[in-house]
Amino acid sequence: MSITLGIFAAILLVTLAITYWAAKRTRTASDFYAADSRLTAAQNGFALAGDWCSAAAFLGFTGLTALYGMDGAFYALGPLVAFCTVLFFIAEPLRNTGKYTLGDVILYRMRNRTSLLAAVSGTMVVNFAYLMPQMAGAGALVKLLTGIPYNWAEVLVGASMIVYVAFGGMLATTWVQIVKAVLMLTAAAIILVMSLSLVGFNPLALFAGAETRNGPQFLLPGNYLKNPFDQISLGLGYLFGLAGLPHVMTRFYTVPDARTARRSVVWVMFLGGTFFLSTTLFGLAATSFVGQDAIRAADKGGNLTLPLLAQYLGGGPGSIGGDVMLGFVSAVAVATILAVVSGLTLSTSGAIAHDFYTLLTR
Amino acid sequence: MKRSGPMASHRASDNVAIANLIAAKVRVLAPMIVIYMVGYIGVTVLAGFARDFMALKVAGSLNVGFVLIALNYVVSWVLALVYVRVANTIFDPMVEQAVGVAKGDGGRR
Repeated sequence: MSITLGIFAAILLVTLAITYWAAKRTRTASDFYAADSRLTAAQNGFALAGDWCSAAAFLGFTGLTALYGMDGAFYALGPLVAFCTVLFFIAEPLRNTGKYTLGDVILYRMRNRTSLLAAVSGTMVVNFAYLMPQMAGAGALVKLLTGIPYNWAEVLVGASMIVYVAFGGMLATTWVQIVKAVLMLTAAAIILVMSLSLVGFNPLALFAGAETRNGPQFLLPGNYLKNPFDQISLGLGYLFGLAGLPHVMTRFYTVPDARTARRSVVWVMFLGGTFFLSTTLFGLAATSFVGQDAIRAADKGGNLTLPLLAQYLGGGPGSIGGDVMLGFVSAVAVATILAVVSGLTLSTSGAIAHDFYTLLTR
Repeated sequence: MKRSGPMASHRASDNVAIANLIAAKVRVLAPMIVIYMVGYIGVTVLAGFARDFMALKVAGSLNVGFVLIALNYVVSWVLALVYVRVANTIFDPMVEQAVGVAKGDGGRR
């Protein structure tokens, strides 16, 4: 417990230090909403990866694969393919026509207040729907890590988010997301290498292990998405849904031009895509090594699968290695939630402050 | 936000450089869009309605379904790289040319 508490405190301190540093550099509206549009493609690519890989990706995809096999792999594939839609249709025009929010683009194209109002409402509805589960997850994780009661954990996370965004704006949000992406990818690389080392670096052995342990039905589609149309519905949701997520789309205002915008999409497709692909292997590894019973015992939705796998790889419950790995992965999960929530908070504040202001003054 | 007048939109259609740019974009993007959409939605349709096919074993426990999923990753990555290459080498110079023509017309930007 003391290890996890230490790692959690370290992440909170680092992110607050970033906010302090960013606050000193945030002067104008353009600094606040778009980091003055001066990020490089790699910076924005890492930040996009930090923004887009939420706790649902980090914890959820692994759990779904461990419990339901192939359907979990479908959940992980969609978020990568969705970036093709963003790259081909959205990223460059968005960069060229908007300034701070999705509403900017709508207003530019439609030229009337009603459509801007619709964009503002859309942004707020989408962001609240996204924020709610992230905050619920954050509270549960902080409680698990530190023992702070759930209600106070919510207040702590919420208050620190407001501090990050209010003082640090897009610059702080961006660097929190970059730090989180680096932590997340490091954790993923360590877990991937350790998992594969147990099966002689042969990924096929992970499939064989999962099948032996759970039976042949496990590797087939339909264990989770039982109705055939659910599969297609999930696919369509991903394919067109990402392009409407305000907190991801506003990231394209942080780069200077269309060329950088498109290069940052390629960064996130390789960083995020590799990560999504890895979650499928993590799920298979967890189901063979940890087993579905232990996974369900910890959380019946499977959301603690990745921390449990890390603990197993570190040496199992009670060992020092196991505790360190469990603490590290859980802390990365918290960092993940902080990064996503700060992006959501910033884009919501843009919709309320910037778009409403435009509405009222025009 | 900055309103740059009517963006010379009524003139844009007369601008041959812009028409060429749009034609080039459609020519390159249309097949790419068809590939990734059919590839991805196709595999979800198979997962829903052709579960026996998805279950066919390819190597050891690895089945067709997982191979198609992996293939979708590769297709997305390859298309992204192709798009960026085409955009940098073909679209960008055409954009510059179109902007130049618009400026020559006394247009704005």
